[in-house]
This record gives sequence, C-alpha cells and structure tokens, in this order.
Amino acid sequence: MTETAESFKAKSTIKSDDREHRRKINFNINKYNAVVPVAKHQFSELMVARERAKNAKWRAIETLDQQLEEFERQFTKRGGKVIWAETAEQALEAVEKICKEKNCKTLVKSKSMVTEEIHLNQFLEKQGIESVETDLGEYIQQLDGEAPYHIVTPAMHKSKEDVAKLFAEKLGTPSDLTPEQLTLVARVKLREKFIQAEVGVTGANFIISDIGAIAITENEGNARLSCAFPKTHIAIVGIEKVIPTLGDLGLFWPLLATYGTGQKVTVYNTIVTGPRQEGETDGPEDMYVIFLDNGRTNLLNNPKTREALYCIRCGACLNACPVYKNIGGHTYETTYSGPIGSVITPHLKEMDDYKHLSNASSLCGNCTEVCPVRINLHELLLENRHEAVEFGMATYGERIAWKAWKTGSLNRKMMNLGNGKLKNWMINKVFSAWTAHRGKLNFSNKTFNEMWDERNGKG
Amino acid sequence: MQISSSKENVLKKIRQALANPVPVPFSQSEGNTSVFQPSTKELEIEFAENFTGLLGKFSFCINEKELAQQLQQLAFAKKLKSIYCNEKDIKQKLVTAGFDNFTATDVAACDASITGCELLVARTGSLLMSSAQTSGRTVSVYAPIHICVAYTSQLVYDIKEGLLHLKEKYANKLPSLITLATGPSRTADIEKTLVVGVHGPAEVYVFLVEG
Repeated sequence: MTETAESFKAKSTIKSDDREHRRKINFNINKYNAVVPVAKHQFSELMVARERAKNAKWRAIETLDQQLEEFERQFTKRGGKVIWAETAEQALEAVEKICKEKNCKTLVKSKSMVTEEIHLNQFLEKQGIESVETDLGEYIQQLDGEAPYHIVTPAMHKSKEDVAKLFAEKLGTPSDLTPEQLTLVARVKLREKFIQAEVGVTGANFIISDIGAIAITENEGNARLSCAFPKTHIAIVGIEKVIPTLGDLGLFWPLLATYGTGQKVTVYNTIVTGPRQEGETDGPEDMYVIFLDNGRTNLLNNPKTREALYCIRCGACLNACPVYKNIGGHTYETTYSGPIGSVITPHLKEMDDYKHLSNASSLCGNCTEVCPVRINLHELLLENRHEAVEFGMATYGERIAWKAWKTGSLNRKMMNLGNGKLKNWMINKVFSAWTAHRGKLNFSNKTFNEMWDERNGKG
Repeated sequence: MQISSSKENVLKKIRQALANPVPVPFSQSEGNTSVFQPSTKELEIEFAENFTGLLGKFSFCINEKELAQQLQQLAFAKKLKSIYCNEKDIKQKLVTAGFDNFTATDVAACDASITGCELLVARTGSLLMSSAQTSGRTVSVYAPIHICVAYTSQLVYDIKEGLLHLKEKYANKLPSLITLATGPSRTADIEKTLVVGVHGPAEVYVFLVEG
C-alpha cells in the first residue's frame, strides 16, 4: 500500500470516531439541507435545467481548443493578457514575474481552489510577498495555517467558539466574540489590505468564451474589491471552466447558487471582460488570465472521465457523501475532497498515490443524484478502480484473491462445496484483509442449489 | 518563447484528446424555453418582493420630487452625514428635485453612496450594474450603505434577458466589469450563521421611480 493510502486509512479511522467533529459537520450540512429545497423552487423544470447545463458544458468541453482561443481573441482586444500554464510551476512562475514587474509587496486574494491546487500562498510567502486571503472562511483558515476543509465552506469544521478562540490568539481580540463581531473584525482588518495591495488575485467560476470574459461568484464582496482597487488583476483559472456564451450564465448562476449554498443567486455575480477601459472611472491597469492545465487534459483524454471536467464546484456531492461526512475534508489530503475530489485527483496527480480514494465509497450514488450538472460520479469512481487494476496497480494478494473469488463463483460445483461455516471461515479468516475495515461476510448455511431443490420438492 | 510553447502544448493535448468525441448527453432537453417559474405579477411587485425577501430595502416613488423627499427622510432617519454620488445625471436630477446633500468627496469617506444601475432583474431581486456607469467598480460595493436609484423602465424579468440586453446595448464595447448584486453583502462562513455587511454594504436601498 502506498504511503498516501496508509495515511488516509489511519486518519479516516481516527476521524470517523470523533463525535465532536461529526456534530459540527452535521450541524452545518443540516443547515445546508434545509435551504437547498427552497432555492430549487425557482425552477419550473429543474431536471431540464440540469440536463441543459450538462449539454452546455459538453458543448464547451468538446470544442475546448476553439473556446479557449476565442476567449483569447476577444479578451486581448480589450487589452487583457492570457498566459497558458501546463503545470502548477509554470503558473507560479508567471505570477512571480508579474509581481516582480509590479513591485508587489502585498497581494489580496479572493477565494479560489485553483490557487490552493498550485499552493500559491506558500510560494508567495517564500518570495517575501504578503498574500492575504479576503474571503472570511479562507481568512480564518489562513490564520489557523490550515487548508480549506470544504470547497465552498472552508471553515466548516470550526464552531463559532473555535473561531473566536483563534481570533483571540492570532489577533488579540476578546475570546468571546459573536459571529457578527468576528466578521466586523475581519472587515476592518481587510479593508486596509484592499487599498494597500498592488495585485489582486482571483479565480473564476466561469470562462465565457463568446465575449472573452471571466465570471466570479461570491457573497461577501471581497472578489469585487480584489479586482477594483489593486492596479493589477490576475485571474488563475482551470481550462475546464468554459461555458460557450454570456447567456448561459442565466442558467449557471442560479444552478451554482442553488446547489452551492441554497440561494436563488449569490449576492455578487461579477463578469470581468478586461482591465479598465478608456473613459471608465476606476479598475486595474492590467489584467491577466492564467489558463491552467495541470493534468486536466488527462481527464479529457479518456472519453469516460471527460465529464468530470463539467464540474462547477458547488460542493453538493461533498455534502451528500456519507464518507465525507464521517471522515471530513482534511483526511483526503487533497485540494479537492469528497466524491469529485476522489474522481479527479488521481488524474491531476498520480493514479498510484490516489487510487485508494475511489475505494472510499459505498457506491450509494447519492453524489450522482445531487450533482447539478448530472456527472455520473459514482460510475467514475468505478472507472478509476478499473483503470487502477488495468494498469497493474492492484497488489499481488488482491489480484490472487479476486481470481480465486471469480473461479469459485463461476463454478457451481465449487459453490456447493462446504457449508456456510466453512465459507465464512475462508473469507473472514483466510482473506482477513477484507474484514479489517468491513463487516464480516455471513454466508447462508445452505447452498442456493440445496434451497432451490427444497423449494421444488426434490429435497 | 516559453509561454507560446506552453500554449501550443496545451492545445495539442486538447486536440489529441478530442479526436475521440463523446455524444451530447441529453439531446431531448435542448431548447430555449425558460426553466424558471414564470412571472405571475407585475415586474415592480415581483422585484420588490424578491428584493425585500433578501433584506433589501425598497421604496416606490411616483416621481423625482417624491424621490428627493424620501431620500431626505432617509438621510435624516439614518443620520447620514456624508453621502457620495459620482453619477452626474442622477446628481443633477436630485438637485433639481430639491436634494443636494452630497458632502462626501470620495467613497472612502462616505457613510452612504448613491448610484444608478443598468437594469433591475425582477425574478431574483437583483441590480445589474456596470463599469460604464461613472460610479465604476468601487462605489456600490465599498460604501457601508448603498442607495440605488432606478426607473421602472429598467425592469426585466430574468438574468439572461438582462445580460443579453447589455450585450446588445454595448455591442463590441462591453464595459470591463458587469455585476449582478442581490441584497446586502453577506457571509455564513462561521457556523452557517448569517451576517450581513462583510466586505460590501450592510444595507442596500432601491428607490424605484415611475418612468
């Protein structure tokens, strides 16, 4: 077993036994579950909406090269610059180069999972640049030196008392502040940073190819401020975020909000088409969009896994997943956790190091059920398992065990050998690896043949 | 050189992958019909209900004179000392109608800002604004209180309609930023507890004027 898999198993074992963790997560997810059905009422044809969204993403991804080039054509017309990055390193190099040119000392960041993926903050810190997370949840996580726990709700695993204690330790505030007071502390601290920063970094929820723009979805206003005050705006975005037309946002904004946070639309949905234009009052002088591949073309390459690129990062599959709810977001030790994380991480990184995540699933299919763009998530988990075996990544013991199982279960004579007790002993004791993390198998005392004969009066 | 070769490499990988196409997932669902609940009320009422449902504060004004009076009352009730407005036509209309209480010289110093908008979206209770307005990117988001002056002729029912309207209006000269703002700035990052006024305004007013 690889080191990552060992660590995952050990952490899962501990977390799933942590009652306090489970209480906090259930509290949060129950609140989410209460509002999502309300937001769904805005749709008269919810299933058609979801299917059309999948069609739109299909259209974008099946012509991805043309979409990205069309974006570049439109975006550069307004003075924007596009940088293509094959790897995280290339994206970081590009950011470094821009920051040096602009003599950047402080950088404000709005929430972005792609910047987590390339570990931008750690990189900038080494360059001596202060990188400030401005989304409240991310700000909390940055103060605590932790990665986001959830792709939409970064500090989901912290109670209000935990946050008050953290602020007291790190910022010297009284230790009994309410969520309102804590939010105000962050507001005041971060206001200075928006004005001070030379560069603003955002992600993007969508790349709109027909008009050459990016769109950012948020509730707080920090993304709007991050691309308003600093003289330079850098948007780092995965190449799969494309939607074909501006009009598609009329569908995607409400879908993302409904499944992400149970809102009809989030408070701010902002389209940025470039730097400040002639005659405009304010805005950055320069705007860069960095297109990041970093393994996404691996997912594209297999027609079966391709649809994982349709993901709009709403987090619904995390909230619905019985495994996620028990082991929590950090146990995965990946940027993207939950079902979608288990599907894509082996392709973005190494299959051998992350294939175990695809086995951390009961295949209940709830993730597929709740996905707004109808990605067949649980089938993709199976596809990953298949790929891992195909490329010979299963252990020797596992392969022998399945071979024996296959031979046995295809042969009626062998199936009829021995009673239930013997079979139980075989499986539960001889193949003890099976029962280490699973319940014991319990075979029927009589074979199927015996029962069939009895029923038909031949016994 | 490095950057352009990265582009070529990424595009090459994409094209190679796409040599194996996959079929459209749900051809039976294609179409342009709306998937949202249709409007059942007049757009003014639809907007007012949805906007106030999200903690927005709504007021209807029969004309600009009434608008000026209502603004006066609001300034008095909220003890607003410095109001900022950077849109000439709105300022002029308000001054003509008898409201000239603009003492703030920049948005950083104000306790409320007044802006116009491009359109109002009734179904979601949203303001559609753009950087083509002289308020730019900052005024409606940086002030602690945002007051929007809008006209009934600016109402559309849904988001797509609003976006396509702007695309047509500006043709090849789209503003550098378009934002759909729906209610006051909010967060629920701490235990999913709703708190308003994180980075943007804690209060948003819409004065909808007939016309």
